[in-house]
Amino acid sequence: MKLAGAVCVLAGAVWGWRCQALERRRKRDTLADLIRLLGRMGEEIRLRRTSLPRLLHQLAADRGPACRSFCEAAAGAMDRGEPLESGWRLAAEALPLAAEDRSALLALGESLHGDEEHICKAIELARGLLAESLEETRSRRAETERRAAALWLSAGALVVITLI
Amino acid sequence: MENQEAVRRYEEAARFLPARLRASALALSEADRAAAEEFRLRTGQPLAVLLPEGEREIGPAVTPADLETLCDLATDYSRYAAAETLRCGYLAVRGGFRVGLCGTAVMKEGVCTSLRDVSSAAVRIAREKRGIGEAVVPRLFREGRFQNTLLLSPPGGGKTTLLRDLVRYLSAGGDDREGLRVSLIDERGEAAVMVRGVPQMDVGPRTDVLDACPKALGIPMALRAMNPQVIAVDEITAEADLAAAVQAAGCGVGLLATVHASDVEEMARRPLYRRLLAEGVFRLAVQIRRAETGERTYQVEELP
Repeated sequence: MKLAGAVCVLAGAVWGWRCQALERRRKRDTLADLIRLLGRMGEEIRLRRTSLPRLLHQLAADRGPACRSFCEAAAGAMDRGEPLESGWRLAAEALPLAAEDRSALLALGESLHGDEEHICKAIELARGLLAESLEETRSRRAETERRAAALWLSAGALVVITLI
Repeated sequence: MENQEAVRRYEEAARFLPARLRASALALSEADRAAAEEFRLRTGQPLAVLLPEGEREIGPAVTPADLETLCDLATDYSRYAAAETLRCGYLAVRGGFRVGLCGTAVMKEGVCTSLRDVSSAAVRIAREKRGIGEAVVPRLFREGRFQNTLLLSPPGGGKTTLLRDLVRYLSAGGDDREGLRVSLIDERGEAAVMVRGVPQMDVGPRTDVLDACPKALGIPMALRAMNPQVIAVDEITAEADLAAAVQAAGCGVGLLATVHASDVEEMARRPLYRRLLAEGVFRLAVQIRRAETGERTYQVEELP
């Protein structure tokens, strides 16, 4: 009975660790997708001057679920005639991102009023910040995973010991 | 019917106002909506509408954020796509409307490259007056050939509206005449109102529009590229425009142009237009007269 209980607690710890790992992975994938999205946005604005709502609708098609929702929500707000910043902010807040990554994206939303040069610079700046953040996350990934695994397993073991 | 159309155009133009101002604009009486010519927005001042009798305040005070939203709505959130006209102080908007802007000019090497911190806007409610040129067009031909024609009126007299309708008729043709290839040099973007390559006003099936291009450059470009039978331009105002028009006339192309003058006598008093008359390029003039009822009449006369 005790053994079964211990196995259940440890399985719960592994499940918790796995969920967290998946969430971290989702954040990394979203960040990478967002960087690609901003790259395409900059190119399309510079080369084709496609209007922003149309561009976001177009780009949504090739994105992962989180970025697709972001593009569609931001474009939808513009289709409804809402102010650009508020639509962009609401869409950005729904993205699974770290606080500093989200604030870089929000700052971009405030710079989308300008001319081509201004917007492209703002996009490049936001893209650069997000790319740095992704690079840092990737370089810390092995260590983060090790720590998280150790934490969850230790917590599970502690619960087992306490219960026994 | 015409009244309903005028109201519909007013409501279409109001769509470019931010939501809180739009509600005030749509609360105006139907008669005023039909007569309104412009929305005027100035930071710190109430939203106003321009009626034939003058400006009337109709809404709450306009904020800088309202003007930003207006620009966003007018450009489909893409000011970068409207850079060419924005630097000239206006936006051509879907539906044929035009938004004039004032703000802080962004200067680079002595040239205005854009406007920022927009402080005032005038949303012009463009209304096509289809059919006003119908009775005029047959009088612009002699022995089946289109004669070079000037359209005369003081500012706000309806020259551009008549020019657009004449271009449409010339381009479409009629029962007893073929449609002509017309090149419309629309420097100020008011005649065809191009939005991303699509004319927002009906300028006829055989009309090629050269948008936002100075007339002096546009006339030779159209001559070389489009093989026009008629070149139409809005407002000859400079010596260079005149020289280009003379060149086009020398190539056997018909010309249709507007000038700021109430009649031929006034034209003859201005040095530039005196030269235009002396060149003998234009054969006919259409004078636009406005009756006290507001109705316009069009009088065609031979030029000396």
